[in-house]
Amino acid sequence: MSRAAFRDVVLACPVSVPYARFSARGAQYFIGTALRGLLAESGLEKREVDGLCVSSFSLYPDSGIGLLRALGLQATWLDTIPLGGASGIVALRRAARAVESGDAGIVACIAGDTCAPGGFREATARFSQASQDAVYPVGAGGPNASFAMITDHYMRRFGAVAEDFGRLCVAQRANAGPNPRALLRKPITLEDYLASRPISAPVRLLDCVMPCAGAEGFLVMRRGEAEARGLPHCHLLAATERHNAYADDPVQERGGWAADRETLFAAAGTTPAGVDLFQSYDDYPVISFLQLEDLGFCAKGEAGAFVAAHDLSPTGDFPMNTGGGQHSTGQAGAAGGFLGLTETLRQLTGRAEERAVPGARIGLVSGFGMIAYDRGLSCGAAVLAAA
Amino acid sequence: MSAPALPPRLRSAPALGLTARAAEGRFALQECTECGAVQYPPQEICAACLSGDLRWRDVAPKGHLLAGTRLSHSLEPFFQARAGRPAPWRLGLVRHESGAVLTCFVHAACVEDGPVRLSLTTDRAGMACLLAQPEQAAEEDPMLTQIAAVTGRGPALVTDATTPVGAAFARALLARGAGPVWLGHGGPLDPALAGAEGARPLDISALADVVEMTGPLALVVSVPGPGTGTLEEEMAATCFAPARLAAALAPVLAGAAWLAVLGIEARVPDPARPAPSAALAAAEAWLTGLRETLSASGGRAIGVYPGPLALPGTEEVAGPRLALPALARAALDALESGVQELFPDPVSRHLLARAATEGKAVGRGA
Repeated sequence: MSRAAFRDVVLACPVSVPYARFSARGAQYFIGTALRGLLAESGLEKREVDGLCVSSFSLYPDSGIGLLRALGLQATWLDTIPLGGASGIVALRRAARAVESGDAGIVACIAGDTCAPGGFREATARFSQASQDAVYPVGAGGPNASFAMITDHYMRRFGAVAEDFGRLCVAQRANAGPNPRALLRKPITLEDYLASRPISAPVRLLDCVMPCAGAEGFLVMRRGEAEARGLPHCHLLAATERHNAYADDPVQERGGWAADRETLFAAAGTTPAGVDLFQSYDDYPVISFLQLEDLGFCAKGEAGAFVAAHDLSPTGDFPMNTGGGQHSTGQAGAAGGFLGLTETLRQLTGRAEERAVPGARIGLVSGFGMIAYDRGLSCGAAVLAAA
Repeated sequence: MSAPALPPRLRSAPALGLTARAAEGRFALQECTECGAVQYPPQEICAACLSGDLRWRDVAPKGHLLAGTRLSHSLEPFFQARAGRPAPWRLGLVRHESGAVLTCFVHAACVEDGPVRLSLTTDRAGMACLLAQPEQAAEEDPMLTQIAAVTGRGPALVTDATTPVGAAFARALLARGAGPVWLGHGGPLDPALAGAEGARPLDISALADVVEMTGPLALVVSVPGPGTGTLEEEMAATCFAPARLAAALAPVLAGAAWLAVLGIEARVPDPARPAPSAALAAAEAWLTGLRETLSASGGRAIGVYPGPLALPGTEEVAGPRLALPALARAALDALESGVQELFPDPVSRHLLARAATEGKAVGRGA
């Protein structure tokens, strides 16, 4: 199936609200601060933003509409995307179509969450009905155990070993070094990785993302709008989303990316070889491995060898998770699904500073969200290009 | 003292159906009546054909361990206190032979990619959990015993050891060597029973002293008092007496099991015995409340619903009757296996099945 390409839709103004391990502030604070950042970055008046797309786990009892009131925004278009780590890609797709159709002129896409001590437990206990009924009662609060079982299966199915995952974690931490926004910047070695304590074997502490508070946001508008306002921007070439893909696979070993990569690259007019930098959704290394394989950078089961054979640093032969990814930056709830987009936007608009990928033109970002009791349900990917 | 941590209790309405089957010691999963797809976790609607007509069906407890993890860290206090002590808590994804993939507690002797035997039991919070064990019997896994740690092993009280049923339970408990066995009585006890090793006669007509005498209890076996036929007396013996005793014992019941010997009439009234049937139904309703109360401390309530019993004086009555030692044995085994509702004989199981499919036809001569 072919997908209609996006015409003249751009992203601008990457904003990251500084992350904190814990915060006494609510989600509205982080999301509102991201909006304030978007206005400051763009020079727009609040009334000029007429669309809002928001993602959050901790905004309850509000959804987007309660937030509009709280932020004093008036909108002609509003969406609330409850898709966790896939919400960035999906928000971008929806916002792009709204802008294309003229339903909105300038859409603010924002994801943000707070994190109170104990709050993560509350959220995971009620994450979904399947999780509540089939995972939480066996002690597997949070996604660690579910991803551990996916990791265990992957290791036995494809012969992967701990070192394969460790290399990715070490490389990402090295990438985080120059990123002032990363909460974890101290370099780690493969020995550190292997010695880190078991959390839910085979998942170790250094496989796990750290929940934190924070927000990410960007603006979506027509190219002419960005040019008229002099806003640095990048183009949306193509994006896909697919939910509950391969539901019959007994254990997840591929995601919806595998079903969509050909249409994605065809719509973008490029190939995996044409990608200058890649931001995977890195909640656990095994999921990054699935993305490397399903998006066509290597064959199924070969991600470990691929990581070992490449330099993943910004100046390496395969720049990946150039800001350190969620693994080192922290996972600010739904904002984790936006992190790859804001990082790529910075890279493609020449604002990645010390992390800059030289001459980067094409960036690929993927998202993955909503773990049920045994697998993640939502997948998405987007190809962005420098203006 | 703060309440002990328990496994999480929050469940959806469909998932409580799994708990209901676990309580009966069945291995049942939800199945679509239209397309036959087996569902897990329990659903409101068939994920294959969208039929809303799902039923619970006993299925073969056979599966295959697809993937596993050993949990060393948990967000939940109950598991925090146990994961990693003495060993990580083992969980796995098991593919049931129907194709459904289940999250299970996994016995230490199971092998990844190997076959497993499944069972459904209740955890310390009284909720359903799935166990995967090796096909062949293996040594007890300490992790699995921690999940359903209410065994009743320890000091026990039989509410009325002067009755034949009470005496049978007292003998069974003494034979298992489980702590001191308090023999409740309000009249003369069988001297051989009262003098047995481990037996402690206890006058329960003085309720105020009972708690001080017994100290913490692991198990109370509540047996029906001698019924005399009128509604008032049946209610007094079958419902009010245990309710008063439970209230008096409340300070020593934390984490304990309360095993109530009722009768199948608690579920399926016998038109020939209206007063005992009504009293048993009342006792059943009260027991449901006690179960909720006890679950807050990790304790549990077990209802036993036998058909006709082989009581002295009934030797010449026609029809199958359950021997008292067999009743006691089955009930104590049920307690250890996490069963909460026991139908220990063919008559009770038959009546329960009839009542489930034909409701009020049973009792109208049908």
